[in-house]
Amino acid sequence: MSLSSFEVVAIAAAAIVILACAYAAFWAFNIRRNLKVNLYRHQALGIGLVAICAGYFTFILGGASIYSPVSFSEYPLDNIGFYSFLACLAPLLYWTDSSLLAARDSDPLQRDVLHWGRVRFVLLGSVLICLGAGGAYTVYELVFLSQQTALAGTSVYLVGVPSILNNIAFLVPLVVPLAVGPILLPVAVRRTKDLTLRRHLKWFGLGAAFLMLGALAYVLLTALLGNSLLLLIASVLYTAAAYCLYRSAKAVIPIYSFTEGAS
Amino acid sequence: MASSGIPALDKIMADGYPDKSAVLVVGPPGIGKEALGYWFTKTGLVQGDFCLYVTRLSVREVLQDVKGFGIDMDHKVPLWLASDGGQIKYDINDLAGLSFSIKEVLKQNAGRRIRIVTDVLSSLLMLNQPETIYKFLDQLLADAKQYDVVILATLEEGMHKPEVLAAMQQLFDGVVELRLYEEGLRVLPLLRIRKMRGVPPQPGYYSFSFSRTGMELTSYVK
Repeated sequence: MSLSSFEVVAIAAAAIVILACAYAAFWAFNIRRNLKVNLYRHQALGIGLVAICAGYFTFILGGASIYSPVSFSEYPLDNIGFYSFLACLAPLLYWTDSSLLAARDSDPLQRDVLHWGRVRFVLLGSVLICLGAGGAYTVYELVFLSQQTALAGTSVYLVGVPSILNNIAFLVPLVVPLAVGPILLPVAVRRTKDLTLRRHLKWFGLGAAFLMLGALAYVLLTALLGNSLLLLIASVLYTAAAYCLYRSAKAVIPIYSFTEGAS
Repeated sequence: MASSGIPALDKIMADGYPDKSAVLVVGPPGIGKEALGYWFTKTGLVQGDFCLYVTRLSVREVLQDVKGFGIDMDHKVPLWLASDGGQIKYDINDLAGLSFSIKEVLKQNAGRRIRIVTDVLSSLLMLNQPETIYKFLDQLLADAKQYDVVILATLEEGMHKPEVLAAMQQLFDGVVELRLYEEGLRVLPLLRIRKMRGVPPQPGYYSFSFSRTGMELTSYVK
Protein backbone atom coordinates (compact mmCIF):
# COMPACT_ATOMS: atom_id res chain seq x y z
CA MET A 1 0.00 0.00 0.00
CA SER A 2 1.57 3.29 -1.06
CA LEU A 3 0.91 6.52 0.77
CA SER A 4 -0.02 9.73 -0.98
CA SER A 5 2.09 12.83 -0.35
CA PHE A 6 -0.70 14.24 1.78
CA GLU A 7 -0.69 11.14 3.96
CA VAL A 8 3.09 11.34 4.36
CA VAL A 9 2.84 14.98 5.43
CA ALA A 10 0.02 14.11 7.83
CA ILE A 11 2.04 11.33 9.43
CA ALA A 12 5.18 13.49 9.70
CA ALA A 13 3.24 16.41 11.21
CA ALA A 14 1.50 14.18 13.72
CA ALA A 15 4.80 12.47 14.60
CA ILE A 16 6.49 15.82 15.32
CA VAL A 17 3.69 16.92 17.62
CA ILE A 18 3.47 13.55 19.37
CA LEU A 19 7.23 13.53 19.97
CA ALA A 20 7.10 17.08 21.31
CA CYS A 21 4.26 16.15 23.66
CA ALA A 22 6.09 13.02 24.76
CA TYR A 23 9.19 15.11 25.50
CA ALA A 24 7.10 17.50 27.62
CA ALA A 25 5.60 14.55 29.49
CA PHE A 26 9.05 13.00 29.96
CA TRP A 27 10.32 16.12 31.70
CA ALA A 28 7.22 16.41 33.84
CA PHE A 29 7.59 12.83 35.09
CA ASN A 30 11.35 13.27 35.46
CA ILE A 31 10.83 16.26 37.74
CA ARG A 32 8.03 14.53 39.62
CA ARG A 33 10.32 11.63 40.43
CA ASN A 34 12.71 13.99 42.21
CA LEU A 35 10.14 15.88 44.25
CA LYS A 36 9.25 14.88 47.78
CA VAL A 37 6.11 16.89 48.54
CA ASN A 38 2.89 15.38 47.20
CA LEU A 39 1.34 18.69 46.21
CA TYR A 40 4.09 19.47 43.72
CA ARG A 41 4.33 15.85 42.62
CA HIS A 42 0.62 16.04 41.71
CA GLN A 43 1.23 19.21 39.75
CA ALA A 44 4.07 17.64 37.76
CA LEU A 45 2.03 14.47 37.18
CA GLY A 46 -0.92 16.58 36.01
CA ILE A 47 1.05 18.44 33.39
CA GLY A 48 2.66 15.21 32.21
CA LEU A 49 -0.75 13.62 31.73
CA VAL A 50 -2.07 16.70 29.94
CA ALA A 51 0.90 16.51 27.55
CA ILE A 52 0.17 12.84 26.89
CA CYS A 53 -3.49 13.63 26.19
CA ALA A 54 -2.49 16.43 23.81
CA GLY A 55 -0.29 13.94 21.98
CA TYR A 56 -3.11 11.41 21.92
CA PHE A 57 -5.44 13.87 20.21
CA THR A 58 -2.83 14.71 17.64
CA PHE A 59 -2.60 10.99 16.97
CA ILE A 60 -6.38 10.74 16.62
CA LEU A 61 -6.55 13.76 14.29
CA GLY A 62 -3.56 12.56 12.27
CA GLY A 63 -5.26 9.21 11.93
CA ALA A 64 -8.46 10.94 10.92
CA SER A 65 -6.74 12.78 8.13
CA ILE A 66 -5.29 9.57 6.73
CA TYR A 67 -7.96 7.01 7.28
CA SER A 68 -11.10 9.06 6.94
CA PRO A 69 -12.17 9.05 3.30
CA VAL A 70 -14.04 12.29 3.92
CA SER A 71 -12.90 15.76 4.94
CA PHE A 72 -12.35 16.70 8.57
CA SER A 73 -15.72 18.35 8.83
CA GLU A 74 -17.35 15.04 8.05
CA TYR A 75 -15.10 12.96 10.22
CA PRO A 76 -17.43 11.20 12.61
CA LEU A 77 -16.91 11.97 16.26
CA ASP A 78 -18.24 8.71 17.54
CA ASN A 79 -18.94 7.65 21.07
CA ILE A 80 -15.49 6.27 21.80
CA GLY A 81 -13.82 9.36 20.37
CA PHE A 82 -16.00 11.69 22.38
CA TYR A 83 -15.70 9.70 25.57
CA SER A 84 -11.91 9.50 25.25
CA PHE A 85 -11.91 13.28 24.78
CA LEU A 86 -13.87 13.64 28.03
CA ALA A 87 -11.55 11.23 29.83
CA CYS A 88 -8.59 13.30 28.63
CA LEU A 89 -10.06 16.40 30.21
CA ALA A 90 -9.83 14.74 33.64
CA PRO A 91 -6.03 15.25 33.83
CA LEU A 92 -6.63 18.89 32.99
CA LEU A 93 -8.88 19.19 36.02
CA TYR A 94 -6.36 17.25 38.11
CA TRP A 95 -3.61 19.67 37.14
CA THR A 96 -5.88 22.69 37.71
CA ASP A 97 -6.74 21.37 41.17
CA SER A 98 -3.10 20.82 42.16
CA SER A 99 -2.12 24.23 40.77
CA LEU A 100 -4.83 25.97 42.79
CA LEU A 101 -3.68 24.12 45.91
CA ALA A 102 -0.07 25.09 45.13
CA ALA A 103 -1.19 28.70 44.78
CA ARG A 104 -2.82 28.45 48.18
CA ASP A 105 0.30 26.88 49.65
CA SER A 106 2.53 29.64 48.36
CA ASP A 107 0.20 32.36 49.57
CA PRO A 108 1.44 33.78 52.89
CA LEU A 109 -2.13 34.14 54.09
CA GLN A 110 -3.12 30.68 52.82
CA ARG A 111 -6.08 32.10 50.89
CA ASP A 112 -8.23 29.83 48.79
CA VAL A 113 -9.07 31.01 45.29
CA LEU A 114 -12.87 31.41 45.39
CA HIS A 115 -13.23 28.77 48.13
CA TRP A 116 -11.63 26.11 45.94
CA GLY A 117 -10.61 24.10 49.02
CA ARG A 118 -14.27 23.34 49.68
CA VAL A 119 -15.75 23.47 46.18
CA ARG A 120 -13.19 21.03 44.80
CA PHE A 121 -14.69 18.04 46.58
CA VAL A 122 -18.10 18.63 44.98
CA LEU A 123 -16.72 19.30 41.50
CA LEU A 124 -14.11 16.54 41.45
CA GLY A 125 -16.65 14.09 42.83
CA SER A 126 -19.31 14.99 40.30
CA VAL A 127 -16.84 14.76 37.40
CA LEU A 128 -15.69 11.32 38.53
CA ILE A 129 -19.26 10.07 38.96
CA CYS A 130 -20.30 11.46 35.59
CA LEU A 131 -17.25 9.99 33.88
CA GLY A 132 -18.12 6.61 35.36
CA ALA A 133 -21.74 6.93 34.27
CA GLY A 134 -20.76 8.20 30.82
CA GLY A 135 -18.30 5.35 30.43
CA ALA A 136 -20.92 2.80 31.40
CA TYR A 137 -23.39 4.35 28.97
CA THR A 138 -20.82 4.34 26.17
CA VAL A 139 -20.04 0.67 26.73
CA TYR A 140 -23.76 -0.14 26.88
CA GLU A 141 -24.38 1.74 23.66
CA LEU A 142 -21.46 0.10 21.90
CA VAL A 143 -22.35 -3.39 23.01
CA PHE A 144 -26.12 -3.32 22.71
CA LEU A 145 -27.37 -0.37 20.71
CA SER A 146 -24.74 -0.55 17.98
CA GLN A 147 -25.78 -4.09 17.17
CA GLN A 148 -29.35 -2.97 16.72
CA THR A 149 -28.46 0.09 14.66
CA ALA A 150 -25.96 -1.86 12.59
CA LEU A 151 -28.76 -4.22 11.74
CA ALA A 152 -30.85 -1.22 10.77
CA GLY A 153 -27.98 -0.03 8.57
CA THR A 154 -27.21 3.27 10.38
CA SER A 155 -24.19 4.55 12.24
CA VAL A 156 -24.10 5.24 15.95
CA TYR A 157 -23.09 8.78 16.87
CA LEU A 158 -23.25 10.53 20.19
CA VAL A 159 -25.46 13.14 18.64
CA GLY A 160 -28.40 10.84 18.78
CA VAL A 161 -31.27 11.45 21.13
CA PRO A 162 -29.69 10.91 24.52
CA SER A 163 -31.64 11.09 27.73
CA ILE A 164 -31.31 14.02 30.13
CA LEU A 165 -29.16 11.89 32.42
CA ASN A 166 -26.95 10.98 29.51
CA ASN A 167 -26.59 14.67 28.68
CA ILE A 168 -25.56 15.49 32.23
CA ALA A 169 -23.14 12.58 32.35
CA PHE A 170 -21.35 13.94 29.30
CA LEU A 171 -21.80 17.64 30.01
CA VAL A 172 -20.29 17.79 33.51
CA PRO A 173 -16.90 16.21 32.58
CA LEU A 174 -16.81 18.50 29.54
CA VAL A 175 -17.73 21.80 31.13
CA VAL A 176 -16.12 21.59 34.59
CA PRO A 177 -12.49 20.97 33.48
CA LEU A 178 -12.76 23.53 30.69
CA ALA A 179 -14.38 26.18 32.89
CA VAL A 180 -12.57 25.88 36.23
CA GLY A 181 -9.07 26.68 34.94
CA PRO A 182 -9.90 29.78 32.88
CA ILE A 183 -12.03 31.18 35.72
CA LEU A 184 -9.84 30.46 38.76
CA LEU A 185 -6.26 30.28 37.53
CA PRO A 186 -6.05 33.91 36.34
CA VAL A 187 -7.09 34.92 39.86
CA ALA A 188 -4.36 32.67 41.27
CA VAL A 189 -1.77 34.15 38.90
CA ARG A 190 -2.71 37.68 39.87
CA ARG A 191 -2.71 36.90 43.57
CA THR A 192 0.42 34.79 43.93
CA LYS A 193 3.81 36.39 44.40
CA ASP A 194 5.52 33.08 43.71
CA LEU A 195 7.55 33.80 40.58
CA THR A 196 7.95 30.11 39.67
CA LEU A 197 4.25 29.35 39.95
CA ARG A 198 3.46 32.38 37.83
CA ARG A 199 5.88 31.24 35.16
CA HIS A 200 4.47 27.71 35.25
CA LEU A 201 0.87 28.93 34.90
CA LYS A 202 1.69 31.41 32.17
CA TRP A 203 3.39 28.79 30.00
CA PHE A 204 0.53 26.40 30.60
CA GLY A 205 -2.03 29.06 29.71
CA LEU A 206 -0.19 29.75 26.48
CA GLY A 207 -0.08 26.03 25.70
CA ALA A 208 -3.80 25.68 26.38
CA ALA A 209 -4.50 28.65 24.10
CA PHE A 210 -2.57 27.03 21.24
CA LEU A 211 -4.41 23.74 21.79
CA MET A 212 -7.71 25.57 21.72
CA LEU A 213 -6.73 27.43 18.53
CA GLY A 214 -5.74 24.13 16.93
CA ALA A 215 -9.11 22.62 17.80
CA LEU A 216 -10.93 25.73 16.59
CA ALA A 217 -9.02 25.60 13.32
CA TYR A 218 -10.45 22.14 12.66
CA VAL A 219 -13.96 23.28 13.49
CA LEU A 220 -14.00 26.66 11.77
CA LEU A 221 -11.67 26.33 8.81
CA THR A 222 -12.55 22.96 7.37
CA ALA A 223 -15.11 24.48 5.05
CA LEU A 224 -12.62 27.06 3.77
CA LEU A 225 -9.32 25.21 3.52
CA GLY A 226 -8.19 21.92 2.09
CA ASN A 227 -7.07 19.09 4.34
CA SER A 228 -3.37 19.67 3.65
CA LEU A 229 -3.36 23.34 4.56
CA LEU A 230 -5.57 22.76 7.57
CA LEU A 231 -3.27 20.00 8.78
CA LEU A 232 -0.26 22.28 8.39
CA ILE A 233 -1.90 25.09 10.39
CA ALA A 234 -3.09 22.72 13.10
CA SER A 235 0.32 21.02 13.31
CA VAL A 236 2.08 24.34 13.78
CA LEU A 237 -0.38 25.29 16.52
CA TYR A 238 -0.07 21.91 18.26
CA THR A 239 3.72 21.98 18.08
CA ALA A 240 3.64 25.42 19.68
CA ALA A 241 1.30 24.02 22.34
CA ALA A 242 3.64 21.10 23.01
CA TYR A 243 6.58 23.49 23.36
CA CYS A 244 4.63 25.60 25.86
CA LEU A 245 3.68 22.48 27.84
CA TYR A 246 7.36 21.50 27.88
CA ARG A 247 8.31 24.94 29.24
CA SER A 248 5.50 24.75 31.75
CA ALA A 249 6.62 21.29 32.90
CA LYS A 250 10.15 22.58 33.42
CA ALA A 251 8.80 25.53 35.39
CA VAL A 252 7.04 23.44 38.06
CA ILE A 253 10.12 24.17 40.12
CA PRO A 254 13.37 25.87 39.10
CA ILE A 255 15.89 23.53 37.50
CA TYR A 256 19.49 24.57 37.28
CA SER A 257 22.30 23.65 34.96
CA PHE A 258 25.91 23.59 36.06
CA THR A 259 26.97 26.07 33.44
CA GLU A 260 24.10 28.45 32.83
CA GLY A 261 22.53 29.00 36.25
CA ALA A 262 18.75 28.82 36.58
CA SER A 263 16.82 27.66 33.55
CA MET B 1 27.99 21.53 67.59
CA ALA B 2 24.32 20.71 67.18
CA SER B 3 23.71 17.49 65.33
CA SER B 4 21.52 17.90 62.25
CA GLY B 5 20.00 14.47 62.93
CA ILE B 6 21.38 13.29 59.61
CA PRO B 7 24.71 11.48 60.15
CA ALA B 8 25.86 11.99 56.55
CA LEU B 9 25.25 15.73 56.80
CA ASP B 10 26.97 15.95 60.18
CA LYS B 11 29.99 14.30 58.63
CA ILE B 12 30.23 16.95 55.90
CA MET B 13 29.86 19.79 58.40
CA ALA B 14 32.26 18.40 61.00
CA ASP B 15 29.72 17.06 63.53
CA GLY B 16 26.73 19.31 62.86
CA TYR B 17 25.65 22.92 62.76
CA PRO B 18 27.97 25.32 64.65
CA ASP B 19 26.95 26.48 68.14
CA LYS B 20 25.09 29.78 68.35
CA SER B 21 24.54 29.82 64.63
CA ALA B 22 21.76 30.56 62.19
CA VAL B 23 21.58 28.28 59.17
CA LEU B 24 19.49 28.87 56.08
CA VAL B 25 18.23 25.95 54.00
CA VAL B 26 17.46 27.18 50.49
CA GLY B 27 15.61 25.17 47.89
CA PRO B 28 12.60 25.14 45.60
CA PRO B 29 9.20 24.10 46.91
CA GLY B 30 8.67 20.35 47.11
CA ILE B 31 12.31 19.30 47.14
CA GLY B 32 12.26 18.26 50.81
CA LYS B 33 14.15 21.00 52.63
CA GLU B 34 11.61 20.89 55.47
CA ALA B 35 12.86 17.38 56.24
CA LEU B 36 16.14 18.90 57.43
CA GLY B 37 14.12 20.88 59.96
CA TYR B 38 12.15 17.81 61.06
CA TRP B 39 15.29 15.73 61.63
CA PHE B 40 16.96 18.62 63.42
CA THR B 41 13.94 18.99 65.72
CA LYS B 42 13.62 15.27 66.35
CA THR B 43 17.28 14.94 67.30
CA GLY B 44 17.02 17.96 69.58
CA LEU B 45 14.01 16.48 71.38
CA VAL B 46 15.80 13.16 71.81
CA GLN B 47 18.88 14.91 73.21
CA GLY B 48 16.76 16.97 75.64
CA ASP B 49 17.24 20.30 73.93
CA PHE B 50 14.42 22.81 73.99
CA CYS B 51 12.85 22.97 70.52
CA LEU B 52 10.69 25.72 69.09
CA TYR B 53 8.99 25.23 65.72
CA VAL B 54 7.77 28.44 64.08
CA THR B 55 5.53 27.68 61.12
CA ARG B 56 3.26 29.49 58.70
CA LEU B 57 1.16 26.33 58.47
CA SER B 58 -1.12 24.71 61.03
CA VAL B 59 0.42 22.17 63.39
CA ARG B 60 -1.74 19.46 61.83
CA GLU B 61 -0.32 20.19 58.36
CA VAL B 62 3.26 20.08 59.62
CA LEU B 63 2.69 16.79 61.45
CA GLN B 64 1.17 15.32 58.29
CA ASP B 65 4.28 16.36 56.38
CA VAL B 66 6.53 14.90 59.08
CA LYS B 67 4.65 11.63 58.72
CA GLY B 68 4.99 11.85 54.93
CA PHE B 69 8.76 11.79 55.31
CA GLY B 70 8.47 8.68 57.46
CA ILE B 71 9.78 10.49 60.54
CA ASP B 72 8.50 9.25 63.88
CA MET B 73 8.70 11.93 66.56
CA ASP B 74 8.26 9.28 69.29
CA HIS B 75 5.44 11.33 70.87
CA LYS B 76 7.89 14.12 71.64
CA VAL B 77 6.72 17.50 70.43
CA PRO B 78 8.38 20.87 70.18
CA LEU B 79 6.80 24.10 71.33
CA TRP B 80 4.70 25.26 68.41
CA LEU B 81 4.47 28.87 67.33
CA ALA B 82 1.95 28.38 64.55
CA SER B 83 -0.90 30.03 62.71
CA ASP B 84 -3.22 27.34 64.05
CA GLY B 85 -3.07 24.53 66.58
CA GLY B 86 0.08 25.61 68.40
CA GLN B 87 0.66 26.57 72.04
CA ILE B 88 1.45 30.08 70.83
CA LYS B 89 -0.60 31.54 68.03
CA TYR B 90 0.79 34.26 65.87
CA ASP B 91 -0.36 36.56 63.13
CA ILE B 92 1.91 36.55 60.09
CA ASN B 93 1.20 40.25 59.58
CA ASP B 94 2.50 41.07 63.05
CA LEU B 95 6.29 41.15 62.82
CA ALA B 96 6.73 42.75 66.22
CA GLY B 97 4.50 40.12 67.85
CA LEU B 98 6.47 37.32 66.21
CA SER B 99 9.76 38.77 67.38
CA PHE B 100 8.38 39.27 70.90
CA SER B 101 7.09 35.69 71.14
CA ILE B 102 10.42 34.21 70.05
CA LYS B 103 12.41 36.39 72.46
CA GLU B 104 10.08 35.47 75.34
CA VAL B 105 10.62 31.77 74.64
CA LEU B 106 14.39 32.34 74.54
CA LYS B 107 14.29 34.18 77.88
CA GLN B 108 12.21 31.47 79.54
CA ASN B 109 14.64 28.77 78.41
CA ALA B 110 17.90 30.60 79.01
CA GLY B 111 20.56 28.16 80.16
CA ARG B 112 19.31 25.34 77.98
CA ARG B 113 20.41 24.37 74.51
CA ILE B 114 17.67 25.75 72.23
CA ARG B 115 16.82 24.76 68.68
CA ILE B 116 14.56 26.91 66.56
CA VAL B 117 13.19 25.76 63.21
CA THR B 118 11.16 28.08 61.03
CA ASP B 119 9.52 28.12 57.60
CA VAL B 120 8.05 31.62 57.76
CA LEU B 121 10.73 33.59 55.95
CA SER B 122 9.27 33.29 52.45
CA SER B 123 5.86 34.34 53.69
CA LEU B 124 7.33 37.31 55.53
CA LEU B 125 9.24 38.35 52.41
CA MET B 126 6.06 38.20 50.36
CA LEU B 127 4.08 40.29 52.79
CA ASN B 128 6.69 42.93 53.54
CA GLN B 129 9.35 44.99 51.85
CA PRO B 130 12.60 42.94 51.74
CA GLU B 131 14.47 45.71 53.61
CA THR B 132 12.00 45.42 56.49
CA ILE B 133 12.68 41.70 56.74
CA TYR B 134 16.46 42.14 56.54
CA LYS B 135 16.31 44.53 59.52
CA PHE B 136 13.88 42.34 61.44
CA LEU B 137 16.00 39.25 60.90
CA ASP B 138 19.29 40.96 61.60
CA GLN B 139 17.98 42.19 64.96
CA LEU B 140 16.34 38.88 65.84
CA LEU B 141 19.44 36.83 65.04
CA ALA B 142 21.66 39.20 67.01
CA ASP B 143 19.37 38.94 70.06
CA ALA B 144 19.08 35.17 69.75
CA LYS B 145 22.84 34.70 69.81
CA GLN B 146 22.92 35.86 73.43
CA TYR B 147 21.54 32.40 74.15
CA ASP B 148 22.76 28.89 73.38
CA VAL B 149 20.64 28.65 70.29
CA VAL B 150 20.89 27.15 66.82
CA ILE B 151 18.37 28.41 64.28
CA LEU B 152 17.46 26.52 61.14
CA ALA B 153 15.34 28.48 58.66
CA THR B 154 14.02 27.37 55.31
CA LEU B 155 13.59 29.70 52.36
CA GLU B 156 11.75 28.95 49.13
CA GLU B 157 13.88 29.37 46.06
CA GLY B 158 12.19 30.54 42.89
CA MET B 159 9.60 32.54 44.79
CA HIS B 160 11.78 35.59 45.32
CA LYS B 161 14.05 37.71 43.20
CA PRO B 162 17.69 36.51 43.07
CA GLU B 163 18.95 39.66 44.79
CA VAL B 164 16.60 39.08 47.72
CA LEU B 165 17.81 35.51 48.02
CA ALA B 166 21.44 36.66 47.94
CA ALA B 167 20.81 39.29 50.61
CA MET B 168 19.08 36.76 52.86
CA GLN B 169 22.02 34.39 52.58
CA GLN B 170 24.33 37.14 53.83
CA LEU B 171 22.46 37.31 57.13
CA PHE B 172 23.08 33.67 58.04
CA ASP B 173 26.16 31.86 59.34
CA GLY B 174 25.52 28.88 57.14
CA VAL B 175 23.66 28.16 53.92
CA VAL B 176 22.66 24.68 52.80
CA GLU B 177 21.36 24.55 49.26
CA LEU B 178 19.07 21.85 47.87
CA ARG B 179 18.43 22.07 44.15
CA LEU B 180 17.48 20.09 41.09
CA TYR B 181 20.12 20.13 38.39
CA GLU B 182 19.73 19.21 34.77
CA GLU B 183 22.39 16.98 33.27
CA GLY B 184 21.48 15.91 29.76
CA LEU B 185 18.12 14.18 30.11
CA ARG B 186 18.60 13.52 33.80
CA VAL B 187 17.38 15.57 36.73
CA LEU B 188 19.59 15.33 39.80
CA PRO B 189 18.70 16.41 43.32
CA LEU B 190 21.92 17.85 44.72
CA LEU B 191 22.91 19.34 48.04
CA ARG B 192 25.68 21.84 48.55
CA ILE B 193 27.02 23.59 51.62
CA ARG B 194 27.38 27.10 50.26
CA LYS B 195 28.89 28.34 53.47
CA MET B 196 29.12 27.27 57.08
CA ARG B 197 30.84 29.12 59.89
CA GLY B 198 33.90 27.22 61.05
CA VAL B 199 33.88 24.84 58.12
CA PRO B 200 36.28 25.35 55.19
CA PRO B 201 34.48 26.28 51.93
CA GLN B 202 33.23 23.18 50.13
CA PRO B 203 32.80 23.36 46.39
CA GLY B 204 31.43 19.82 46.21
CA TYR B 205 27.91 18.66 45.46
CA TYR B 206 26.17 15.71 47.10
CA SER B 207 23.43 13.67 45.54
CA PHE B 208 20.69 13.18 48.12
CA SER B 209 17.69 10.98 48.74
CA PHE B 210 15.39 10.56 51.69
CA SER B 211 14.79 7.38 53.62
CA ARG B 212 13.07 6.47 56.87
CA THR B 213 16.36 6.76 58.68
CA GLY B 214 17.21 10.18 57.32
CA MET B 215 18.94 11.49 54.30
CA GLU B 216 21.42 9.56 52.20
CA LEU B 217 24.23 11.62 50.73
CA THR B 218 26.73 10.56 48.12
CA SER B 219 29.45 12.72 46.74
CA TYR B 220 28.64 13.83 43.21
CA VAL B 221 31.28 14.30 40.57
CA LYS B 222 30.26 16.30 37.50
